[in-house]
Amino acid sequence: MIYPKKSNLKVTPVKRYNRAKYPAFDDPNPLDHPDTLPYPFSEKVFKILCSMGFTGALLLSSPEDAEAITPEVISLTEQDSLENPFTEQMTGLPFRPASFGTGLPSRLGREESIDVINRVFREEGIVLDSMVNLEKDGVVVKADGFNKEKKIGYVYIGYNRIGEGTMINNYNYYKTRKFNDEYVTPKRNNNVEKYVDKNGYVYKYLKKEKTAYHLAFLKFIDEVYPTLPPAKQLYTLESQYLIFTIQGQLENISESYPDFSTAIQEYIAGTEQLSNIKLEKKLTTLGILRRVKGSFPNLTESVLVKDFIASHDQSEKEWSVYYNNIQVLLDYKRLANNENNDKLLKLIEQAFMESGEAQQRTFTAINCEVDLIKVDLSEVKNIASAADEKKYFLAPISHRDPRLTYHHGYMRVSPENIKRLIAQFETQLETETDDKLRAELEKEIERFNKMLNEKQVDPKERPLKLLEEQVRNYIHWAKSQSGY
Amino acid sequence: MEASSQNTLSVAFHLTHHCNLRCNYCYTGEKLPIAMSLQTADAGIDFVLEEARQHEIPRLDITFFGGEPLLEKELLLYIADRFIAEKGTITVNFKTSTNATLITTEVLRALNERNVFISISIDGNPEVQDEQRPLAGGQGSSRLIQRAIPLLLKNNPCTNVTCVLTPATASRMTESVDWIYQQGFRFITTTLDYSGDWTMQDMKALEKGYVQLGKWYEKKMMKQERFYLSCFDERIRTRTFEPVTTNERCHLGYRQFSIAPDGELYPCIQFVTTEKIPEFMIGHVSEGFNESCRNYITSSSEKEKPECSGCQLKSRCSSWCACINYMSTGSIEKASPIVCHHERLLMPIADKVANRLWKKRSQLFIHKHYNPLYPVISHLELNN
Repeated sequence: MIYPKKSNLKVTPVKRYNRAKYPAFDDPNPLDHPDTLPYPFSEKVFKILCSMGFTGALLLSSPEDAEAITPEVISLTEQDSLENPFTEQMTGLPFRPASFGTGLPSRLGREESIDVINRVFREEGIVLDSMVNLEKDGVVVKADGFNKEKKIGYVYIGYNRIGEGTMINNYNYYKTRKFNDEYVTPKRNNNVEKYVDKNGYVYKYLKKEKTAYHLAFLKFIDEVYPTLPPAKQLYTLESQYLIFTIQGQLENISESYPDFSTAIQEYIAGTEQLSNIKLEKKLTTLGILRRVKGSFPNLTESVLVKDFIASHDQSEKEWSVYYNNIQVLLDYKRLANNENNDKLLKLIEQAFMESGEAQQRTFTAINCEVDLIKVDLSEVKNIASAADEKKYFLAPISHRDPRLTYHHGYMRVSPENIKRLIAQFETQLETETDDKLRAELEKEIERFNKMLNEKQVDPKERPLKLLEEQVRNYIHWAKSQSGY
Repeated sequence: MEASSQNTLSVAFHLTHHCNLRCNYCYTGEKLPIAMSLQTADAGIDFVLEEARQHEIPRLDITFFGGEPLLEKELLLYIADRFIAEKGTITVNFKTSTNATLITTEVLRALNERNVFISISIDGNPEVQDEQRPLAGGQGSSRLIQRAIPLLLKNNPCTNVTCVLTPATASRMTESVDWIYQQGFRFITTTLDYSGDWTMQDMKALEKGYVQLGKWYEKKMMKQERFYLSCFDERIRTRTFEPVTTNERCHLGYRQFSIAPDGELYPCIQFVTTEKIPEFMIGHVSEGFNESCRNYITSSSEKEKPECSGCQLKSRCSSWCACINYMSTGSIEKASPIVCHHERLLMPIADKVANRLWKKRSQLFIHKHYNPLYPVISHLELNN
């Protein structure tokens, strides 16, 4: 390491600096000024954006438009305190998931929202029981908080709880998987030819490796592959590639989960004689087994996993139903974790240890529990009609509520940083002897203190305050309706 | 969890100490053909994934560094493939920093398949390039670079170029930047050779160079040409954005570290050289971190710098950067005099340029520095 010995440079603090005239981070954003021109798109890009529909419109609009609250919403935020502030309309459901997120507002999280809601109920003298099931016309909804005597409470519809009909989408990947459906294997992207490119990196990488399966695959490419008739080449190469990949997965599983590998070893035996379709199934099976082991590290014996492995030689449909069921259980395990639902977690673990009718009963119990967690659009309507009939008053508070959004304050200053700057200036002031500099520092301290006091610096402050007000309004409205 | 630097672990894999260039200002020591072994790479990948999972870090930024990383391109691709195969729910981004002499269509295709972002180093026009960055045999490297440029730009019009300014080239910086710009590059990062012997006279030449480059920048901005030039854009950003807090910095050894070819862990790429620096070895991929060493480096680098006390530019200056401080003073605790002089001369020039653009209400200036969507829109424009 070389560093200068001859240099005569020294660190010298800058005591006086002419402040720049262009706006700083704590000045009003010039984009908010009515005279500011829109972004100067090139003609070519402008045309592309015009053809992009919603995404284009978002980019063509100013950033503030992205968080704009509609006049309809504004009127509701300023409503009479004796109106229902949590109507079906204000849940923001159903919604269309955004495929392009830049500039979209952030939404309040579950924990911070629930803290505010519970506090307001407490302050209004209402004691809430948690997780209460409420029934109307055969539809059961799980309330996060409910007072049975006063028949009032709330359900918080966070992202994990959005159920059927609440999301408008055209894509399969948003669809909820259900037990006993068939799983359709996606078409695999066949990229096996790259292995025979002897100047390519894959071939060179294979040559570097020394494991048995690497060597076997390399031998195949070097010796056997060129001697095959052209019609057979691609198919045989693909099968060798699948066997090679299976062996790689197997090694990975054996290393990561040694207690799991014996059953897999048995399952893999005789791989060489299988057709490519069956080999691909084995590869898919190994993939999901790895996911099972990752999600349930303590699961050493599972009836469902054994049945799944055994179904390999049975019909395609049977195998794909097992595959789908395991995927559903893995999805629900994530849901159980996110919602801290131990009951659901235990049911999922139980399903892995069962088969036949007992397992179907557990699946039904899981479906019931998941149904209670999820809030369907029909249930939101049911909640509204329960209030109309004065059966119970359950506020459906949704994370999609357009009032409860905020912008991160991309270029706005945070209170912590203002405080830090004030402290920095105050330290400087203590040692500064130059009167002019002292005056400048005092001016700066005053400016930042003013900003700290006057400016609403925490972007979440507004929606949290609004949530607090609306929950209070809801309680007053419900009281006026039921007279409790 | 919000996507921020606090949720990202940045790791550099130094694939080799070897390089086919002999840049005049290279700080990494003797060029030895010592590459990272496959075993070390495997241990490194396991270590990084374990570190990310253990601390629930959702995003990994993996950089392939050297020497010249493309001398070990198969190893690079192997590491990328293993990360892709084993990342699970972690988002992994790849980047490589190369001298561009080994770029071919085949290499670009392989890197593209793995979404490896390429950042290259060019010091300027052929004359400057050949003088500053000769090949190991002494010939100039500009011929190889010129062959690679069209391939790189076709592959990604947003390819970033790093241009190192040394005492010998400071006065020619406008010609250098303009030449890079004329080739079609629109993301240009200029940096100083912080290990160089800068004198007051060199600093004056540098100042003159920046004044000239400032006029170039202003002219391009008024013509509404989209580009990024770090020396001005980053200085203006220190005013239009909140000051960087300790939390947002690189957190040496914690949110970023480097893996040397032998598996030793260092807090930053600048510490990985062929001459080992034991005081900055914060662990080994097979043994984990040496916590006391790691803590010592982090706490030392974040100490207040008494020599900067009372400085009006303190909140806009990068005197906190431990590796630059080390390169220029030999200590991570002392502020670098080169950084100090550089910021003192460049900040007023950048502010004057920005003042003039603001006074003229340059449409592009306002959007570039105050519209949070600008990075997305400008990328979109450059890619179309």
